[in-house]
Amino acid sequence: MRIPDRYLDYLPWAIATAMIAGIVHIVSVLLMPTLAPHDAFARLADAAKSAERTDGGVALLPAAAPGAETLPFEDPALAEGVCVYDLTKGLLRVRATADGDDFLGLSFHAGAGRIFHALTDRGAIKGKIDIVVGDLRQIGALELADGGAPPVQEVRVTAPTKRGFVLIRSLAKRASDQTRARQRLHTVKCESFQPPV
Amino acid sequence: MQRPFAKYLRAAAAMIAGLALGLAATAVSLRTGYGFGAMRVGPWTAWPQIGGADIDPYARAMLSRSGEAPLGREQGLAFIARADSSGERLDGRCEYRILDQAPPARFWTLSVAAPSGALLANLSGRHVFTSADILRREGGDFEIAVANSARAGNWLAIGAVRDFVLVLRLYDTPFDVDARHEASSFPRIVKTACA
Repeated sequence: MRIPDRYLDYLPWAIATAMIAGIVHIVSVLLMPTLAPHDAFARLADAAKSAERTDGGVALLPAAAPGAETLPFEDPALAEGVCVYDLTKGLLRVRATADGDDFLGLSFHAGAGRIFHALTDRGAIKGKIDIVVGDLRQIGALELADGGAPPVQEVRVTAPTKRGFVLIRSLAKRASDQTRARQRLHTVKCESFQPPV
Repeated sequence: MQRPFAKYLRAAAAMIAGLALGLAATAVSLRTGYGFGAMRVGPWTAWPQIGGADIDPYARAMLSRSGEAPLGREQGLAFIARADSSGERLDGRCEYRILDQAPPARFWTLSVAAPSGALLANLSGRHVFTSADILRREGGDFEIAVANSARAGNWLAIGAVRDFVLVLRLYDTPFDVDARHEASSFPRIVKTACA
């Protein structure tokens, strides 16, 4: 088989095109989480600004309605609250009480969207959920301060990024339970605190 | 003088074509789902890895673009159906029945949504049934009618849309994502009539 020289001339250019396409594809996929303007973090940080806040520091998201969803693909049977955190201002402590009867889910999302910790009320220790989120240095300082004997119920989680959010989902088992499910969000407390020096 | 100029032109063409192709590949790959590791059971598909720290770059890109916050893997699993049990795409002009049973979970919910994940405006004002508020037949099986005119029993309306999806969420489920599952342990989606 003889390939005309004319085509062979184009071959290096075609290879170069394919290589550039490959690089552009990989880079654009990897950059998407940092560049996407309307990711969950941006949407929730936006919603939290105008949302009603509980005494525990949880921003209550408005009940999902057609045309007024905070996030796409959220379960309309859930009442939701969010704590947006910034670890440069201190560690985050999330506390909740589990009544053993109703679903309460806490998921910890890094700014770029990855879930680094998640649990439900089933994961509570003696009916209590107590989670401390910090970066590597902050968690290290905590461990140093308590000399390797952390409080029994406290779970310490290292966050991969400084900014992120905790999404709190409370299931309304029946349509008439929405108010009760929202009320349960009031039992969750998010607070920022400084690491021991 | 002619030769080097032509080379620059070709290099520029290769770069522009590469850029366009690469971006097109990204757009296409993000439209097809949540990356790798899809689990299919009958018409239902779930992506268990999007709820964990081992999420792949495609799924991350896809989620950050759509703005979703998935369920944590330890919390549950969300299954999406875009087609009925016979494999035909769900059509807003048709009526469907969702039958039988859901896999074991502490709670489950079954909802209708637009393919973009938005809720569908409809007259009934209901978007979801939960395992606690659904009416069941003797033996525990259920039947949900998806139709735009009122139905007795469990009824979900979708409003005036062409496309919709069904979402089955299992909360606190012992579901093993590595095992093979029979479609019979999931709700069947049957088309009953078309307008």
